[in-house]
Amino acid sequence: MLDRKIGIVDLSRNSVKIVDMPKDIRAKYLGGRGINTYLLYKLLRKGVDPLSPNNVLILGAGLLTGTLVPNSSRFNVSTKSPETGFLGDSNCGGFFAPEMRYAGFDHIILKGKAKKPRYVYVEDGDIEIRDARDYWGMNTNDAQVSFRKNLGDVEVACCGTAGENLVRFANLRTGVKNSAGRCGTGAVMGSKNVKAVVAYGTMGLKIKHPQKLLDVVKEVEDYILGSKLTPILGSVGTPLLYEVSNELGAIRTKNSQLNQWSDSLNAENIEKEVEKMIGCSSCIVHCRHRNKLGGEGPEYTSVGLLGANVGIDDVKQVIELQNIANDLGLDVSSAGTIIAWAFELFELGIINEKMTGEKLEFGNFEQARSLLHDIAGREGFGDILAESTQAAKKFGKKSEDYLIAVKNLPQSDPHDVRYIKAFALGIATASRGADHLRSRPTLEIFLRLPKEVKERIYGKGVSPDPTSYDGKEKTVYFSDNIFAVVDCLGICKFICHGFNSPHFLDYPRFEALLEAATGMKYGRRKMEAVGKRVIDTERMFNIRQGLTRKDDTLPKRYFDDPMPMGPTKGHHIDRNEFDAMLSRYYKLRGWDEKGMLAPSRVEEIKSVGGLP
Amino acid sequence: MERDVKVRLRLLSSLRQTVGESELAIGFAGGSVESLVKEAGNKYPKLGEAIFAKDGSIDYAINVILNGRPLTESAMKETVRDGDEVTLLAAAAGG
Ligand code: SF4
Repeated sequence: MLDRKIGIVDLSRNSVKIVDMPKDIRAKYLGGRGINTYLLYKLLRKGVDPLSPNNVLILGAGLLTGTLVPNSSRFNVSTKSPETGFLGDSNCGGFFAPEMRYAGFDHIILKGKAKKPRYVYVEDGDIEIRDARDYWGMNTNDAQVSFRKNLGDVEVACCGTAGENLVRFANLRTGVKNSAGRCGTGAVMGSKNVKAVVAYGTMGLKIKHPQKLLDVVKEVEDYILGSKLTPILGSVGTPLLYEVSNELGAIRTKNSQLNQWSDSLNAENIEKEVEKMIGCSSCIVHCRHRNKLGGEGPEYTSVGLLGANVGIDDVKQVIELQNIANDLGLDVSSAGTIIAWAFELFELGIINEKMTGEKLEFGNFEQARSLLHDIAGREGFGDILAESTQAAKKFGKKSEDYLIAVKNLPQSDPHDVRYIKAFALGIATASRGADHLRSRPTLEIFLRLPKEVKERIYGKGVSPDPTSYDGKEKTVYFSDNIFAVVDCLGICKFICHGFNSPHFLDYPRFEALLEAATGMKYGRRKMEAVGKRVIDTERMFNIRQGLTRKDDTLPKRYFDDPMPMGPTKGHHIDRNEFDAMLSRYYKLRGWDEKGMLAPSRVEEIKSVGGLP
Repeated sequence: MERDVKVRLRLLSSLRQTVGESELAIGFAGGSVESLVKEAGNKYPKLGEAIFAKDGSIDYAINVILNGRPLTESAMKETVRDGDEVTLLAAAAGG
């Protein structure tokens, strides 16, 4: 077995406890996001203030993370989100998670609050709480360089000044760009007076059937590398999606007032600013750019949200904004959405110069740049924007009508979901709020995918028409489950069936990899049951924190304002159709009309045992 | 056969980069959108490589837009008319 330990770091008491992974938890949740979710549910009571010492921050590696399995670089960071008040959970690549495992740990739980700035150092089975005064006040690039200079070849997951200043969408960073980006994980780290978790490990992972794993990995690599999509992602990366969305008329523009923007942000212009393509640990795709402006990226998300959404059409400016946000430790998705929201509110006169200190306008690069700094430093108007969606308390009730967020989380997908109805259901029901990485049934954008192919993947009754509501609950249900599984295993979604392609890795290949690496035998049903259990546990966590059916909804604009331009012109979400689709989704999940789990299911999940 | 149906075929995103052209002017004997796209794929081998699946059909990852209207698979049987604009773009996803 690949089992590593759970490290529990009590910062208030300055103490560390190291425990074994209970077998029942491992069997039911595998690892990564699943075990994090279970731990979070067990550890946090109702109504915990996310920025108080009572919250916890859990870093959890996937069960296959750090092995030879392609793209197995991932870990999840889970907490109660200070941005949303609900589940905070974010998946991250890079090199940190393998190192944490080589250092002996699958999960590290930070609880309490240190009296002074600290970092947590993890090496070969030991954990120490150390003085971080030399690193406090640094942004994420400098902090990581300094840790390496002082400690050698370590891997670091840290917050920037945004996290120290409790910006509600501060993230946790490792490397130049990899981020546990969403839900304010960095703010929770900062609230605990912790700068970083630093790992160094020399403990190899014991593979159950080494030769078998080599054979399965070879087959999987050939399969992935044989796809037409792999070299495209490996040479252009995700920015190519900008043009796809833009041509369809589905790129969020100026806070979704518009749905098409400039061709100047197309991938070939971005490529001019790219030095080379790079990848995370064990990655065979290499979707990421190293840019000439001193950072990594941009991804499609940055191009959309720090470009079109804030009205900027200059590639270099978009890259610069993205590099700054990354260094400060800000989530680019929330940053681009919140700034665009403020710009529109100013245009509408809902907020004015008395509050903002200056005239706000779309397309003003210098303004967007200084707002990023002001948000991270909580200075001036930036202090209000640092509250993310909770700034509505200052902006007034009317401002909520223009907020592109679900469950208080700004939408991450640059894609305007009014056209593709399954995307809309995906962001409405995603456990952490408006997000595409939890359940986006991406194959809906393959507009020619015939009914029989869709039905083979998702089940009977799924309409091939992306604008239809028929059967779309099944596409979200399937995606929710398999993405949860892939997050438990620690594999990147880019090679997961249904995220990028109708091909790529499906349950049988996950089963083969899992068995070869660990000896655990999981058939399709049992594997999918893990995904369902994760979703149900996340739901239980959210319900405990006050979530109800009314939270599974969409921004008002998506219902009430038809898309104004391009091939998608006129499309919007019909409230009745959406409501019916949501009810069908609940039914598939075994939830009642209110979105609640059956009492027997709650008991079943509560009985998963063994937490020391 | 007379090639009297003139169509503007636009290539976007990764297809434009693969083929090295953003637009191809196609003279076509007439027929469905599907036959037009196949003919273009056969005429321009680099395009063919990018758009054909192993069995010779048009890969499902290729989205086809006819005069600004995205087509489903059944709509690929629609007839192309003189002066039409057909756009091809490879669907893909990511974050
Ligand atoms: S495909 Fe991209 S995000 Fe995924 S592991 Fe590779 S480099 Fe990282």
